[in-house]
Amino acid sequence: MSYGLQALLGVLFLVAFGVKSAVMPLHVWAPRAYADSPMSFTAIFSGLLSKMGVFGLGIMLISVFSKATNGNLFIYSEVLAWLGAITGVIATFYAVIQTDAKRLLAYSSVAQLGYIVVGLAIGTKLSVMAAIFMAIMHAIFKGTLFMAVGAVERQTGTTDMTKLGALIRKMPLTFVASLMSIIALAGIPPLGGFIGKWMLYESLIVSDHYFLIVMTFLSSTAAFLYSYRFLFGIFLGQEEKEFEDVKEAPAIMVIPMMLLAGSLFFFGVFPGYLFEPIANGMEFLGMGQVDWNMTMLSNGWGDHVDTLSIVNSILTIFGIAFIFLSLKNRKKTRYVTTKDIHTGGEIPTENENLTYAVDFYKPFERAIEPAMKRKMDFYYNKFGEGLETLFDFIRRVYTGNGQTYAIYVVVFLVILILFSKQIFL
Amino acid sequence: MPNDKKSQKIVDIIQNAARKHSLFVLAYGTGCGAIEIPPTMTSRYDAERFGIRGMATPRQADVLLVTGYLATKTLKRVIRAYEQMQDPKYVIGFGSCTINGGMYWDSYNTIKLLDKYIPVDVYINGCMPRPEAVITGFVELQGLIKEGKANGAEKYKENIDWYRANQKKVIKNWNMPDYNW
Amino acid sequence: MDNSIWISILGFLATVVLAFTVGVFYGGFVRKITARIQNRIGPPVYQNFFDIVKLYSKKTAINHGWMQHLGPAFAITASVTSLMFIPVLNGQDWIWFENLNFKGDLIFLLYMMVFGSLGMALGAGQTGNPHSAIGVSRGLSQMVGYEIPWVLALVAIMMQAHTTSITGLLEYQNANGTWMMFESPLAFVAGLLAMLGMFHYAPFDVPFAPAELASGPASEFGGKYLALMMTSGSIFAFVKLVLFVDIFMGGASNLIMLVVKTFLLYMVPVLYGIVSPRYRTEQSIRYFWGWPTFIGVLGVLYVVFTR
Repeated sequence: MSYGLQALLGVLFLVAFGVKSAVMPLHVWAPRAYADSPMSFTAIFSGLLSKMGVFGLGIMLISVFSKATNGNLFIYSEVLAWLGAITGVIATFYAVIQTDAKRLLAYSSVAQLGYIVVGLAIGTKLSVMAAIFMAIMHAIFKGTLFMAVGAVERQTGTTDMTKLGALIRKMPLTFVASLMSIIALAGIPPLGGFIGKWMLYESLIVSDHYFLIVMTFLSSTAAFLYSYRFLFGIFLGQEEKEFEDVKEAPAIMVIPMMLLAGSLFFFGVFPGYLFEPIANGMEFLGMGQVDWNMTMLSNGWGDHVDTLSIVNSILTIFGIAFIFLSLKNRKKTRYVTTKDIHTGGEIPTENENLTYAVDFYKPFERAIEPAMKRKMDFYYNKFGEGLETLFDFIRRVYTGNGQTYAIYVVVFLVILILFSKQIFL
Repeated sequence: MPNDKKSQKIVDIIQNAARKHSLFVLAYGTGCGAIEIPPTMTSRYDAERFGIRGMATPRQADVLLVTGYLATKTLKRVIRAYEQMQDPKYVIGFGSCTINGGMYWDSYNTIKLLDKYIPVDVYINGCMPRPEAVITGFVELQGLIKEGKANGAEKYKENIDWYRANQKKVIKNWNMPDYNW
Repeated sequence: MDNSIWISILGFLATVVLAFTVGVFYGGFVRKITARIQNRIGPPVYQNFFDIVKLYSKKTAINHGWMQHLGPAFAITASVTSLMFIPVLNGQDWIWFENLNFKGDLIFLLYMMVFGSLGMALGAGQTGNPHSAIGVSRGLSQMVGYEIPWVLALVAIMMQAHTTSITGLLEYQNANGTWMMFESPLAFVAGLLAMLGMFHYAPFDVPFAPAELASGPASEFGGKYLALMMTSGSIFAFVKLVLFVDIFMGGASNLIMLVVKTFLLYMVPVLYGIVSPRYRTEQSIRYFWGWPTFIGVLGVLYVVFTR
């Protein structure tokens, strides 16, 4: 099959799978679809269904194009990697300025899928393993987060972060589950998200993609912003009067969240349990021998990270600090409500609202304003208007008037007769 | 409790030495006497060489400087700030207005003797006291801490009813929470 | 087997004590130098010890909930864990300070240093004070700013030395005989400018300057919580300095050289900070995405084209 035909087939397949996995500029359906569905469906939707696009991309890139006539890689894989990185950055910036928790998580899903697309497009063994590991971790923690938002919506009736606040004392188990998921989303050790991100960065450095790593890192650092906003807007902050008698979500909602959050911790310590099926899958697809280790991550240059020692040191020191804090002056430590804060000696009255919830990241918005001037919808609308102008022009030819069509038929017949009689030869 | 040096344990000696050498002053100027605080803290009469520095919130501060006259409106906020501080805490009354009413001795709105409303450890006389006098006051407070005699906070806890009665007599719109520690 | 466990535990304690002592003394030195520049005498250099002991000996403590109670625990976990994974001394015989050097690398450290800030931010969030929330949002926005030139500098030197672990970088500098500072100077300049943001001295101290907000995120912490936060802050300053010295200045082979190098390096943000006013948040983000990023990009291209 010729070279141009291969490239064309590749582009068509990748556009199709790219729509499913929300790569820019084909992502315009994703935020509202994730946000406006019922939460119990969105947990599955964001966790499982978005991975169908990733699965298709993976199969295309790994096993089909490795048999292509131009070496092992699809020639547009660099373009795809850059699109994935740009998706990560721009979607994260959009997530930072949202005020609705569901819309924030939707943009965050688009950004995480961008990382996975970068990993797949680079094509080395470490990066593909990183991409698939991140896909599995994303399913776990994003499912937990959507379930937590669903629990909050059921108990309080709203998910607007400018209205909610201080649900930590009333829904503590939901908070713990979403805290562990947010720590995994931000990629902080010792939970599972760090392992995927570590492998992705290492593979980008080893394979010489230096500017991609800067864009991925920018997106990952900006992810801290919306992670904190999510936790602060819903669970921390000032107490609100209208959510006085909110209770914890029922046990059937809490238990799956806690199980998934616990599994994040488990996979952070022993990632080898996930490496084994991933490595088998990659060998089956034709990438050659892939070696892995139960608790140690390594890259091609010989540097490694040992997850057991990380977890041991973190838990030991955290335990020591916690015991010290709790036992020192145990009888003289009191709890005060959030109304007893430093307000210059004033006592806030019942209807005074001291929450900081609106325009939470206004300085950041001002700093990134040049990048956010136009949304993607603008370009789609312009394209649609251009097509309409073209159709207006064509309507002058196809007027819909029967007599005009009769004249066209007669003129065409006259031309045919003149040609056949060889008058215009 | 016994306050002489022989019966203090070594831990108390170390703790009092640390408390003496690092006093965090709440940056709260309650009256016109606060104009003498910036010269004390800045270059000419440097108070930081004694370990004194200003802190922003009552949760972090040790020393409350009541600088000057207190109208009853300000007294309510000062009491609230005092109760938000953590033990051991000290109060320094600054200027003549805290001792006997000073310049406003016949006013209907100011308080005349600060010790009736908040326990005071050291008074600094003057209207306003010069920075050298302020530093002398701080050094005297350091001496009291070293001997273990600066325990106004415990006096407040034990005689809370008397203090509350005095406060409620002067402050008309009382909506403060109860002191329960 | 028993002996080596005891030795490793004693080594761990020795490293923490060293970091704490050096960090607290540097805090005192900074106050003394600031005072001398402002033409006054200033506190003695051991003043910060008094501050920390006094805060530990407070008799009561107030907290707003269990998340605020855990906030300083997160902070000190991040500081001490980062300390364990950095080679403090460069030589072969210093078994006391070896710790877990060979088991982690730069990318792990980048994320571990954020762990503490996240825990502290959550703890400050539960207090409900709007000053804390504003301070946290400003601090996180600034972090997005200075991480970009920092990552560019790190990528440049990681590609030059073909390794991502700090012990690998130290070996590379020993093998070549020069410091990384002179081999890729553009990356060094970008990293130094990013480090100005990491230390949060002026002009980047808008998250917690008392004239802006009432102490920002630390508004409602007092007593033992503030003491643990100051301890963690001192250790963390030492960790950042040693990391920078190891990457760019060839590490140190004994304690005296370590103190000299870190002190000289620390003087750059401190002296620049004493004489500077403060940037607003969006001004500091735009500053970091301007010249320091440009110099970092030049540094990466320099490594790519001269390899």
